[in-house]
Order: sequence, then C-alpha cells, then structure tokens
Amino acid sequence: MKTKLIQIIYDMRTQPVIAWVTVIGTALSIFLIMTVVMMQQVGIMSFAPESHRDRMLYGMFLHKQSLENENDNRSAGLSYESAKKLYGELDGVEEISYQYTDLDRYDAKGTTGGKFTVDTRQTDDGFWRVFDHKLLDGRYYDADEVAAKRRVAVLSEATARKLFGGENAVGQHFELDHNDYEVIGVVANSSILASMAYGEVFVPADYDKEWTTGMGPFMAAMLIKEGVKFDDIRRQVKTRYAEYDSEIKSEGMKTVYHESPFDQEVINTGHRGSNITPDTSSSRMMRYIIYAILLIVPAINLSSMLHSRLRRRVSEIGVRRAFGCTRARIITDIVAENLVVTVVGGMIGFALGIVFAQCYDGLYTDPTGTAARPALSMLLNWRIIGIAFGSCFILNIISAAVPAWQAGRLNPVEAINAK
Amino acid sequence: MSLIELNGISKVYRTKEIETTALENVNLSVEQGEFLSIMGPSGCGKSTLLNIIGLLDKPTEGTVRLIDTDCNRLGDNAMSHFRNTNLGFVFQSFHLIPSLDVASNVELPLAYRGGMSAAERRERVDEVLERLGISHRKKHFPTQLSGGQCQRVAIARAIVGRPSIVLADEPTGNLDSKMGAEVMSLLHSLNADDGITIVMVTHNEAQAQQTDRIVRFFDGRVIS
Amino acid sequence: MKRKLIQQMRNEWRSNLWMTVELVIVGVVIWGVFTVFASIAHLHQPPVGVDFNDIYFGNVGVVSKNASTYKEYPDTVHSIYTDLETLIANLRTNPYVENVGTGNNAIPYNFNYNGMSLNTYVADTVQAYIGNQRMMDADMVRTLRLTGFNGETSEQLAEMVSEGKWLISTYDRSYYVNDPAKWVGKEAWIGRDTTDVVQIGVLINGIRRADYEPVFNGTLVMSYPWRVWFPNELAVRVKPGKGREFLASVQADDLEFGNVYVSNLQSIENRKTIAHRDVITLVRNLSACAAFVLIAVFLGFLGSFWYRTQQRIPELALRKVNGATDTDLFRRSISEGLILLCVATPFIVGIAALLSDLPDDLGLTLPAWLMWSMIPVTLVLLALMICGGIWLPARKAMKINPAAALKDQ
Repeated sequence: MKTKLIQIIYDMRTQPVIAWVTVIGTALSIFLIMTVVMMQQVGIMSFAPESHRDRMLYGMFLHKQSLENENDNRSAGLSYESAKKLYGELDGVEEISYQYTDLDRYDAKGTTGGKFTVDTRQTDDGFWRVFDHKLLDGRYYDADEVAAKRRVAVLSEATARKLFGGENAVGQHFELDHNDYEVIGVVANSSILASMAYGEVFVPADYDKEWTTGMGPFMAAMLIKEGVKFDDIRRQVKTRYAEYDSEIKSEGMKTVYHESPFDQEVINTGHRGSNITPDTSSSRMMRYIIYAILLIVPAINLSSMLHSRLRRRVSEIGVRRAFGCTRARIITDIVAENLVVTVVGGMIGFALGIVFAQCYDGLYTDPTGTAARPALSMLLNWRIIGIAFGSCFILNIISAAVPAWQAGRLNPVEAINAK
Repeated sequence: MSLIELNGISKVYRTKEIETTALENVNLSVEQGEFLSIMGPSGCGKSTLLNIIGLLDKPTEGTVRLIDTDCNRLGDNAMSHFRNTNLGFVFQSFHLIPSLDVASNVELPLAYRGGMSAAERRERVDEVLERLGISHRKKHFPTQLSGGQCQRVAIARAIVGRPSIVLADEPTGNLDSKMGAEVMSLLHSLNADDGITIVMVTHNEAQAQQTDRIVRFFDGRVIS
Repeated sequence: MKRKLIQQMRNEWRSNLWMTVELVIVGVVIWGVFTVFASIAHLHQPPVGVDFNDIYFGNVGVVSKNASTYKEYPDTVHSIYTDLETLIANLRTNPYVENVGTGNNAIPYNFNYNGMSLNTYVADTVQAYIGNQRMMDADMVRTLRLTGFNGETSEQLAEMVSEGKWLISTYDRSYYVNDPAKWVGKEAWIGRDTTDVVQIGVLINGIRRADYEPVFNGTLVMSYPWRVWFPNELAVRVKPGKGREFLASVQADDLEFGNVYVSNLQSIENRKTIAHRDVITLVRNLSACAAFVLIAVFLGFLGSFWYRTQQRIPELALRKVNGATDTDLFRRSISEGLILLCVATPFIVGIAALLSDLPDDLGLTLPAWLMWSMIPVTLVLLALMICGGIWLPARKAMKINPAAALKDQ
C-alpha cells in the first residue's frame, strides 16, 4: 500500500498539470454532488423534533370542484372538521396531530418590554406525541385545554429568554398577537429545517377557524405505525374522500383527490399547491439527471487524464506483464490506484461541501423562504458520507474503466519497447 | 529432456499491406544449466525468438515446450503465472519502474506471487540485493543510479523469484565495457553457482564467446 | 498545414472522441440552462396593472372579544370599523404618507388564488368570467395606482369602485370570455345566484400574482363594501423614495387603535423576494451547474492539450526551426480545439432539436426562436472555455526553445 502511494505521488509529481486537473475535477464534482445530496437529505432525513420522517404522512388541502363546471374550483387548507373526516382514526396511524399548515408570524411582548415577531405554531395536543420536542420545563397543553381554547403557550428556550430575560418562564404571562397567554412549558430550540414541527411559540389551535365550508388553516400530521404501507393509508383516505363527496353533493360540489396524505419527499419539494397533484417523480428525475451530469462530465476528463498518465507508463505495464502480472491484475491495480486519487479529490470535495453548507445559508430554505443552516451533526451522517464515497467509487469506475481495460489489453512485447 | 524446446517455430507479422516473416521454422533446444547466446544482425528475429521463449509473444506456427510444459496450450493467466515462477527477464534498457525505489522494483515478481508474506518478500529482496552488492542502494530511485547499478537491480529483479530460466536481451547494450564486463561476470556466476539457464541475445562477439553455445541467426533462420 | 493538422487529430482520435462527447454533453447542458434562463426572462411580466414603488403593507388584525386586552365599546356608534378609520386617519397624518388603502387579497406576490366567477348575457348567451378575486376599497385603488385598459386613471377607477362597481381585467387565456370589453357597463351575477347582481365598471390592466406567472387568467376587482366586510390588508403609499424615513417615523402606537392593529408592516419588496425565491433558487442552481460543466470543459482541454504539447515538443521545435512563428503554433493549438467544437456542433443541435418538444410536455410555451437563439450563445461559451483551456499549453508550446528541445531528443 505504501509503495502504491509513493508511486502515485511520484506519478502525479511528474505530470503536475494533469494531476491538478484530476484532483480539482474530482473535488469539484464531489463537492457539487455533495451539495445536491445534502440539500436533498436534509429535507428527508430524520432529526429531532421530526425524528420519524420515514413514518410521517401529511394530510393537506381540500380541492372542491363544481359538478357542473370543471373550471369552477375551490381549493385551500382543511378545516378541523374536514381534516378529522378525511384523516381521523385511520387504521395504521399511531398518532395524529391537527395543526395549522403554516406558521403565523405574530407580535409578542413579555416582561423584557420590547415587541418582536415570533414564529407561532398552532396545534392540538396530538402534536406533542407526533413530534418529539424536548421538554425542558413545565408541561405541554392537553386535549382539554385545546378544547377549551385556553390561552396557554409552550415556548422555545430562546423565545423564553427573549421574553422574560433570565427569569423562569413557566407561569409567566406574555402578550401574543394582542392576547394574553400563560406560559406552561419550555422546549428546546428546534431547527427551521424541521418544517412541520419547528416553532418559537406553540399555542392551542382554534379548531373553529374555517374559511368556507370544509376549508381552513388545518392539516393532519400522522405518525404511521411501523410496517404499515403508506398506500394502505391512502386507500383508506380515498374511501373517506368518496364519503365526503356524497356529503357535499348537495352544495353542487365534488372533491378532487391529489394523492394526499403526502410523505416527506413531497413535503421536501415545497409542495404548496392545494389544487395540484404533487410531482415527485419529475423532481427525482431532475436530480438523477444532475447526478449523472455531475458524474459523467468530470469522468470524461478524468478518463482522458488517466489515459495520458498511463501512456507514460506503458513500458512499466509491459515489464509488469513480463514478470507475471495478469491482465486482470493490471486492470484492478489501475482502478485501485485511480480510486486513491479519486478518494483524495473526493475528500477535498466533501470537506468543501460541508464548509460551504456551514458558511452559505442560501442553500437550505424552509417553505416560506427563510434561510437556515443545518447543524454539522446533521450533515455528517453515515448516509451522506456513504453517498459521497459511493459517488467517488462510481466516478472512479466510469473514469478508469476504459483506460484500465486498454492498459490490460496491451501487448507486453510492444509495451516494453514503447517509449 | 531439454529445458527449452522449440519445434518448427515461425513468426509472421501481418499488417494490412505487408507480411513480414520474422522467424522461419526455428528448432532449438536448450539444456538445463546451459548459457546460450543468440547472435545475428539487427532485425534477424533474435529478439522475437527471445520473446517467444519468454511467453510474451506467440509463434504463428510451431510448439514451445518449457520445463516439460506445453506452453502453446497455456491461457493468458496461466502464462502470466508461468512467467512469474519460471522466467526472469533482463532488458537492454533495464526497464526499471522509475516511480518505485530499488527494493520495490526488485520485489515486483514476488508481488504477483501468492502465498508470500510481506516479511518473507522483504527478506528475499534483501538477500538478492546483498548478493548483487547493491543493498546500500535499496531506498534509491532508478534515476539516482548509474547504468551498471540499474542493470544489477534489473538482474536482481530477474532472479528474485528463483526462476529456472533467465532471458537477457542485450543486457550490456547500454553499458560501457567495464560495466558490461561486470554484468557478464554476474550472469556467469548465476549460471555457474545457481544453475540458472540463461538465454542471452547479444551483439558482442567477445561476450558470446564466453558462453556455452552460440546460435547465429540470419533472416529468421538459424544458420549455425 | 491544414491537412496535416487533421491527420494529426486523427491519430489522437480516441482522446478527441472523448473530448467531443464531453463537448456535446456540456453543450446540451449549457443550451438547456440558457434556454431556461431565456424563458424565465421571457416570462418576466410584472403585475403591470399596478405601481409598486413606495408601497408598504401590513396585516390588519382585531383583538378577540375574550382577550384580556379587549376594550369594550361604550356605545353602538363605536366599533372595530371606527377604530380602523381612526387608525387610518392617524397614519395619514404621517408626513411621509401619501395614501392608505385597505383590502383583502389585494396585494400580489402571495400566491393566493381566489377564483370567482361572474356571469352575464352577451348577445343572448350566458358568458362566465372567472378571475382572481381582489377586494379593494377606493383608496386601495388609488394607493396601488390601478390603471384602466383604455387609459382610465386610477382616480376614475377609484370613483367607480366607490360607487360599488366591479372591474375586470384583460388576460392571457380565459375559459369562456372571448372579449371582456363587451362586459363593460353590463350587470353580472355572482356564481349561480342570478339575484346577486353587480355592475361591471371598465376593463383594467390585469394584476398578475407574480412576475413569472406562466398563464394569467385575469383579475376581478371587487369593490369593498365598507363597514360590511372587515379588511385584512392595509397598504400605504409613501412619498417617492421616503420609505426608510416612513418606517423610522412609524411608532407602535400609530399601528394600534382600540381593538384594531396592523402587524408586519413591510415593504412590498420583501414579499416580492419571497415570491420569486423559487425562480432565484432555480437560476442559482442552474448557474452553478452551468459553471461547473464549463469549468469541466476548461479543465479537460487544459489537461489534454498540456499532455499533447508535452508529447509534441520535438515536433513543435522542429516546426520552429523550419520557420513557424509563435503565433502560428498558438493558432494551430487553438484551431485544433475549435475543430472539435465544429464536430460537436451538429450533435448539440441535433439533441437540442430532440429536446425542443420537452417544454410543451411540461406545459410551457416557449417560442422556437428563443430556443434556437441559445445555440450560438452555447457555442460561444464553449469556444471561450476551449480557448481558455488551450491557452496555457499553447503558451508553453510557444516558449519552447527549439535548440534545447531537439538536443534532448
């Protein structure tokens, strides 16, 4: 191994331009792949308080269409009633939370005096069971308090400090959107990247809020039991839609089903159209095309660089063959040697990707467009690292395949005498 | 039984336009322990013959038997294995690998042989380097060595796998006469002390005269 | 010389083939990216019917009755409506304020689509107009400076709105109405209820939801029945360029009166930025992708030609000895790269032709000239990258000292 490394370094030093092109090309490729992968992964990987993203389904939106005129459409979020009708008590659902789809930005004022805007999430009590916020002090609100529309609030740690300074927040009162609220609990801060669970202030949702019949600010966030297929849930929801159809027939309306409830992949596309069926396959396709371009274009370069490097080592290959190296060994040696170079470039690219994600916050945005930086611990997970190395490996294989194969096919006599 | 037995060897190179006969009906047998020189003018086919004996090239016609093995029947991998265990090569222009140090260059044949630990390999390399008097150059790279030293390293590489046959293609061709003489005496000692069979292609009449037998070539044919 | 160059390129066919393949892939990617950019630029059509310079807006909220901060009204004269009127009147006293209007879904860039259908008889057949409903009071019409399709001023439009008339706009595509101009002055009923009748004022310029809306279906400005519906939006027009002074001068007290308050007072630019973030993100990501593949071309040509120059040092030295000038050698290297680009061009064009149906499948209508005009842009960029990549090796070739090079040989 050490011999191999010395040989690689020697080889690179004799052809510095080609070596630089190889390393920079690899690093750039892996850096961009990492950036795309991280952006995608941060959107679908599980982390507290959304620790079970792989088991989450979100029932969102209601789309009604006139029975007479298909251009007469109404679509919006759900009301509490319709959310319950469409998603309540489905088989295979472990916990369900009825919550407002969007955060509300409200003014808040505490004992520290100043007024500032807080991201307010309005939920029922199920929210605390679906998502795993970390309770630092006090308690969560319960079903009775939600039903009674009690003005109680759970604050994030940072908001509690902002409202009350160093004082113990639980039991204190503060003004939220011109209403008086009592603090009953404090939870750990959550990342804005947890787009469904994040909040600075959590208050019981007003379940009477309704825009028009069946429509309102609600959605249903469901934690599915382990082993239950998402399609089983969707099949039940379809039946509920049919039931709902018969209910609104008298209004001259019917529903249009858009494959709700949505999984995390749909949520990650930032899907917010209440009257369109989310299209994950085209965004997935786009991503694969980007990966392919990010791999193939540099691979062509790396391949010609490797080819150039090998052309200078033809006689070496001949000598090795003379001393009993098989064709297969020549090929695997070249691929392995190239892998070392690719991995070095890949590590540079990976490091760049991490640094970039930490320094530049325009990459990750929540659906409202607020920028966020993912924590380092989120990026350094086995999956992202695995994909990075997997990409290096693929890049290596496609760039080394042709030159290595050609080298393996060299006639030893001609190779030895080649200059 | 001869160690090397060539029967009716012909080699014809074909390109689109021309057909060149490099060897024509060559019969040759070399006994165990023999030191043979092949002589002849440039382009007479002596190197081609050496390559065929070395299993680096295949004859168009004829059979090659080395150490009781019908080499015509060997597949590519089997040939590689055969070369690795039974043959050693010394080239005119040394063909040391510039990116490897002396020890790694010498170790090369052992690297392609299974069943030897790194320590064993290193031990064998040290032993050979010691014997050829170049162990002090072990960590040096080929570019830091003189021509004579390079050829010693090349010979070390050729014998480190303990082959029965060493094939030398003008081993002194790139050396001055003093260094050439040193290399020749080294080859003679390998032949005499270790019983290695040596087939050497040379232009040097004097060096050829020192060997057991001279085969002369002209236009692809053995003339004496 | 030319023939020899091509002969030499044939000898390097394998490497040249790969570089051509790379040029084709990169060319197609660049073409695709620039076509998207061009189509975005082509799509760019701000909500023309309004003037958003110097506009600030906020949400209007009401303190709920069971809140502890709720202030009881002493009589029936006072209500949240009078509170709002006072709040607006107070705002108007701000020296930087020109006008204040209220409405509901009046301000674009929020992606709401409140469809509403109106029906009327046009030449004895029932026609329906379906548009995005925007509720405004007369002052909102003035504040946003709505304009009439036939040149009516916003003052005239505000007048109509205050009379309770509704305004409909032109559109890109509609389902039923062939000529909305025929609706002007007519009575129309809302939805299916023929008794719920409104008067159509005039035709206005449409208000798009954002600057990059592919298809615009029309706007329906609904006059706002004051004191019947409570608005949820408030817009302020400040004196030209006085936005910062305005924000600095507004006190928390100015935004509250009685049980009514205004929150999130901000420039329309904020909302515009958020609304266009997906477009910005797309442009950014595609730019990164394009830059990357262009760098790849640069690096590829740099590496390959560096190697070739090294291989050809004796040859180049010989040429120099025989009288070739530095510029000759330089030109020779560059033309080698550009010949590869010429070979790649038909393939790029061919693939582009195959892909040109794609926007249709995605529901985008892109004019053909727009797609084709991106081909020369692509070729120029590729040529620049090729020249950039070859530049260093070519310079190295020029610097060869023929005597030394030939001696080495």
